[in-house]
Amino acid sequence: MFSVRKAKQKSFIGGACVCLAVILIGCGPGREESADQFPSRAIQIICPWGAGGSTDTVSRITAQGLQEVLGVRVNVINEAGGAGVTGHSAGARAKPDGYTLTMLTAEINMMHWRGLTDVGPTDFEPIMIMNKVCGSIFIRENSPWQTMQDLRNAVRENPGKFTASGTAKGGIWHLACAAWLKACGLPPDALTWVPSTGAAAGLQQLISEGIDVVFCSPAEGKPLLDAGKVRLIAILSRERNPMFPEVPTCIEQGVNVEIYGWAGLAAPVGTPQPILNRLEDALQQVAATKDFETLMRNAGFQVDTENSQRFREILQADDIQFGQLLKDARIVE
Amino acid sequence: MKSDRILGTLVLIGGIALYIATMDFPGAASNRPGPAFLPRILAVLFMVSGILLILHPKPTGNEKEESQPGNRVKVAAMIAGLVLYSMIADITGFLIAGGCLTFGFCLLLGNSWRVSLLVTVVLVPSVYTIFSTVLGVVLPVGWLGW
Amino acid sequence: MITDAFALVFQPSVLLVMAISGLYGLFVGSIPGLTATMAVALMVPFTFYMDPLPALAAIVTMEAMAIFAGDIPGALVRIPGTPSSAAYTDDAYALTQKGRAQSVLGVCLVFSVAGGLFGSVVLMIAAPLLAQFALQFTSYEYFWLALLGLSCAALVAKGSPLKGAISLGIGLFLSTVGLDPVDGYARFTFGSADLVGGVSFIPAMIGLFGLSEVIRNLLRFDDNIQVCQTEKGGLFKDVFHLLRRRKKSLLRSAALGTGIGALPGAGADIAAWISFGVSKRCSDAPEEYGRGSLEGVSDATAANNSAVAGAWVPALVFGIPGDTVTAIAIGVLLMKGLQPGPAIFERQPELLYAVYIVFLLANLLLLPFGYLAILAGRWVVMLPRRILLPGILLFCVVGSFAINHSPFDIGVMIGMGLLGYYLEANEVPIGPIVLGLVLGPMVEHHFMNSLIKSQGNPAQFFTRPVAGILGVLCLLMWFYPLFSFVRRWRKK
Repeated sequence: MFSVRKAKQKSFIGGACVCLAVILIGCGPGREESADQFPSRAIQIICPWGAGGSTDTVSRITAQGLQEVLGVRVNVINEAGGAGVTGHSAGARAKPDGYTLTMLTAEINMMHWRGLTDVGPTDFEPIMIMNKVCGSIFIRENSPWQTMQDLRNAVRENPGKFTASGTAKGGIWHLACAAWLKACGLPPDALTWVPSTGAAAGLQQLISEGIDVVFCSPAEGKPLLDAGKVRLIAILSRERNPMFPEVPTCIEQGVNVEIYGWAGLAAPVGTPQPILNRLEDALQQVAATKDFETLMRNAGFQVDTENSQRFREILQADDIQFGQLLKDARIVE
Repeated sequence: MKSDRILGTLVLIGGIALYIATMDFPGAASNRPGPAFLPRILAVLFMVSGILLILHPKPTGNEKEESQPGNRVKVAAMIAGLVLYSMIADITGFLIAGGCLTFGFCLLLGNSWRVSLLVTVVLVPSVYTIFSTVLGVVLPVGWLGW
Repeated sequence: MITDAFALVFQPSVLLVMAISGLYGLFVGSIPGLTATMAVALMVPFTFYMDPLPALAAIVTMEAMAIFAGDIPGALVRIPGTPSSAAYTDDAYALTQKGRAQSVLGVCLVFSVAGGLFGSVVLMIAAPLLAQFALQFTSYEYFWLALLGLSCAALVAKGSPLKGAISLGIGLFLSTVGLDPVDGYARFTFGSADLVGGVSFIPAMIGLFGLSEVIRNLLRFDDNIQVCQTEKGGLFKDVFHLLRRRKKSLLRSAALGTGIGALPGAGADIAAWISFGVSKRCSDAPEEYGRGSLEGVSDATAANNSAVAGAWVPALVFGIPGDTVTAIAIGVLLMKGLQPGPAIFERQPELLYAVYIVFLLANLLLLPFGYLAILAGRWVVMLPRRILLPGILLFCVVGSFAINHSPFDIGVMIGMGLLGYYLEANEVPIGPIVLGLVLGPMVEHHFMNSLIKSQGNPAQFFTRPVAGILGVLCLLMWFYPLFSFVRRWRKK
């Protein structure tokens, strides 16, 4: 081919193109692979939140474990933005071949209620919940309140005076705040919600006296708690948190509220069942390893996994609970 | 002078369009402005600066850059190639789409087809390999399977 | 204790990790579209198997190298390798076109090292103090800081202030696309899920700088010209002279960089912009800024490298991340069972000292490593343009895709490239667009939050001490030109 004279170059470009096309068509379509060959190439996990956040950490720990079990590379991609809408939508639109998975978070059950996207829990095949975190209430170290009751009374006497933060408007910790107010029998605007870019930003505003209360997961506030800058007054789960055994739950203090954020791996709807089974098996193996447990516990998460069946139920239950809360808190009309 | 007037007109139209686009935004809350606040400030900024630019166009300091009409066609071809790439990359994969883009652009710049082929064959697969192995960025996988 | 720390650092394994991660950081940083954050995030799985110190050493070294390496493609082909180099890309590239690629890269390297060392020293001696100060910042202070940053656009912009304002407006407008920061209302998204996430910053930056330059090159295409001429003389020809002459401004820039870096949420990119703006205001030759000012480049590049160390101040003292890289670093520490914050100061001081040593060492390592990177980068510009341009185009495409894995971002890059070309053909500077994109969300978010907190009472913007100072500074900056104009007009 390389001995052609210049005059004939053009026809050879044409020829080369035809050859290329033939090769491409030849290996193009018809490369369906069966489930027992899965996975034969790199898998990517879309994380709908930014690098360095807690969902990112869970994604990376999971990816690392999955990589060892499945024997292919597993990459984490941070598609952050739009309060999780961008990443969740990209995950739902991906080819349902098991090679693009999404680390869903509880926000999947909120964004469609808020009219931000059509993408909702039904666009995904749940595989496994990797961790759950409960909500908790932090106040400043020099705050006059000692217990959750003090906070409740103060809010009741001065509705609308105090401010709370922890995440963006309509995020999981905003819902936690709304749920707490509802359980206390207080109106949704009794605490003014100040949106922040995340728990870390909210906590920073808390100690610089910009706001009064922060709702976030207990682990997110642990460094400042250890530094003596904040106090943890209540946990919004059914049982006490093993990391903070001395902190009472809201239920113990007479306010019946529990709320959990979670992160779970899911595939786009339409992914073949055998591939889903293969992935769930692999994830079960990952969750059972000592490494996974140590890494997760050190990062401040309890290993609290749920299989695909439970995951589906949680998605459905959350969808109803969050939809109701969003309406009660007048975040959506 | 003329080009400043055109720019000013575009900016003015942009400002007006921006303002119109904010009309159906939700209104202000009791103690703060609503989501239309910053966009409307910008709309006014665009309108004012557009008008100022139309009224006081500055003569451009340096000569307009020489550009031959043939080269404009080349720019258009390059943009078309990029758009085409973004459409087909997910289907054909990076190797084919990126290869076509690079090969085409090389030819466009007047390289012989051999040089173009060489550049393409060296550059595209190595970019793919580096990104997918070292950098953890998986470029679109397509018909070729890698 | 100090000897313990030295013993921790000077182990073959730690030094090897630093060398490898340094090379990796240089590589990632010099590829447009891949940021220091991405480099560090990719490292995380490897840190699972490392001891705490090598893990931290890897992150620190990688980040310092990546932030410098971002200058190389910025200077050579006008695509900033990381967002932190955007502030002075135009100046560095203009110098390259004047045939001074070597001296500008030499200056970038040496001033980066100097800035990084300054930041490290501040981290060592004043971390607790600086952290206390940084935590005084609430939304009022951040609002003023962001506004100050925007005022820098007026300073940074070359040519007509009116066109600078238009450019800044475009950047701010682009930053409003997507969910609004307070109500979560979707603005200008036209129902597209991609736009709900906003206009991605990195593809926009690659388009505005890189693609627009490719277009310009193509329009003037003449194969006999190389992208730039390489000059005779060494890399460090101008460096010593400049170092001697600009000791004070180097200190000022590095201090600014460290301070801004220490503020959670403001990082190396903002530090570079503000330092560049301040540098211009203090300069004897402000007209050179934007057209190839070595002084501006040196000040900004020192600031962004010192901000790297600054970001570790709140992270080490309180466990509050100063930027995304330190957020990842805190995560890694936690996974090792270490709690950043006062506990680390009390319980493991030798680890803390070791981190300090790592900071100094990483910045010193940058000197030889960066030198090699510049040498490697030199052959790129020796290629004839008709070979180089396809390569640049391919990297524009891949770089915009890499950050979100989204084809939509390639569209953003194309659109921004055309916009950037059109604007520059009409002498509208594009720097302010990038600045608007960086600071737009910050200004709006903190303005609204402040009003929510104070229940609509604007007095709070001035009554807090730091906010008051920043506010007055800001107003002075805005109204000084007006004031001097009135005075001149009166004299007439």
